[in-house]
Amino acid sequence: MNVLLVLLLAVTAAVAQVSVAPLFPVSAATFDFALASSALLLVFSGPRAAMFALPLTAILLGFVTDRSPALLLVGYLPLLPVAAVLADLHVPINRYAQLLVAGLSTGLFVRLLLALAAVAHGAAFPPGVVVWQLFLPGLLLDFLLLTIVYFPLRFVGWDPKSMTLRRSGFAA
Amino acid sequence: MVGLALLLAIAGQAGALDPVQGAFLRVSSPLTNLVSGIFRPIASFLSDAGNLNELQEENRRLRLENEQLQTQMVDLQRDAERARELEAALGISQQTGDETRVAANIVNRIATPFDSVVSIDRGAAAGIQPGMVVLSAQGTLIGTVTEVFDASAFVRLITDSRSKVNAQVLESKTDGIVKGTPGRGLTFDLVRAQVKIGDTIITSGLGGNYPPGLPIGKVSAVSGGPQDLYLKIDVEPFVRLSTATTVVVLTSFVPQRIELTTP
Repeated sequence: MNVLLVLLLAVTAAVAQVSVAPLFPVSAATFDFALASSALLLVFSGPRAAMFALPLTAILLGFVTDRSPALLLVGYLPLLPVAAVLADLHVPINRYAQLLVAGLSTGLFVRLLLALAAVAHGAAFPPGVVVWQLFLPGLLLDFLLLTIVYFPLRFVGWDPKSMTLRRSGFAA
Repeated sequence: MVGLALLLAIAGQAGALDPVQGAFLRVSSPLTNLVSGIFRPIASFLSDAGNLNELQEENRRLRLENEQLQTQMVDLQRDAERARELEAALGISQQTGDETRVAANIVNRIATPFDSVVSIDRGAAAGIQPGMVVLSAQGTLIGTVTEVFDASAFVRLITDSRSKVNAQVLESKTDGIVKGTPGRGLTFDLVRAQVKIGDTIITSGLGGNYPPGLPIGKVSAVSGGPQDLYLKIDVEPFVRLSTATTVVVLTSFVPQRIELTTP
């Protein structure tokens, strides 16, 4: 995929995260456009594009949200290995299900990581609040966003690519 | 990737990313404003449609409050006039015009149960520094500046769960600490005296991070019995922080002690 297109996607995701996402909260969770763009890029363009887009999106998102880009990069990092493991182990689920498993597990991880980072800086951590107001609504929003974008892209003829690193030329 | 994360962490700590971040914020701010302006009416419509009963009740309550405030304003104007007359008679005067303020627009919002942060479109070029106090257009305390770039700055709102403000009850002069909660609300902690629903909470000025007397909110709920060491007090901010679009930075106030970190 064109580098400029990936850059445009990363900028769009970062801008949408601070301009659109806070306007449509479910409980205390918001859409994660950075996760959705990276996960969909992984499915439709393969891991090469995702490996380039993921750090770029994390850095730009860190800039606009005043969070550590390093923390965000670590937070979104499980997307690639989870998707690769699902493909390598030949888990009998289709691409949409693979996208959901990789996307939702990464969404959960990044929210947990950000919560722990906030706690490290003095925030309270009531488990009930975190589970009911952050994790569960967050999973719902991630599911909705991935689904809303995935099927129209499939409908217009975009085919999913292999999500394994080996088939993309990254064999060790 | 992990190596890159480490590099980013080191670069972030060293401040090497700050110029790039400032430049990106300057470039992306107009775009963010545009996109936000397009989606805000849709979000507002959906929110209003879902809270019609609540809005009607709020409207009724605000009408009553407005009437009470109008009455209080008349009383205060009368008192002020009387004070001016007495000052003139006694030959004393009070200087109050040394405050300088900078108005700014909210550009970005970052809202999770733990973060209540906004970015504004004024920065170091306008004289803004980390630790400065941020107010609403009406003068209610909103938060504190945490990071400053040339033409933008980040503000941690008082509802952020890392935020703590030394405060007191206006009516009883009882001191305590206003803290943000994970649900983007406020609690008034470490209070040992009686507090009533409707009491006004203002900054106490203790600790030196905020000037005294800034309005914060009013007590919305009090729980706990005589056996409890401290009462559990919920505070409703005077300003609706989620919809504020303009803020004022108090550039003349220099905080005495700054303990601000960002994750």
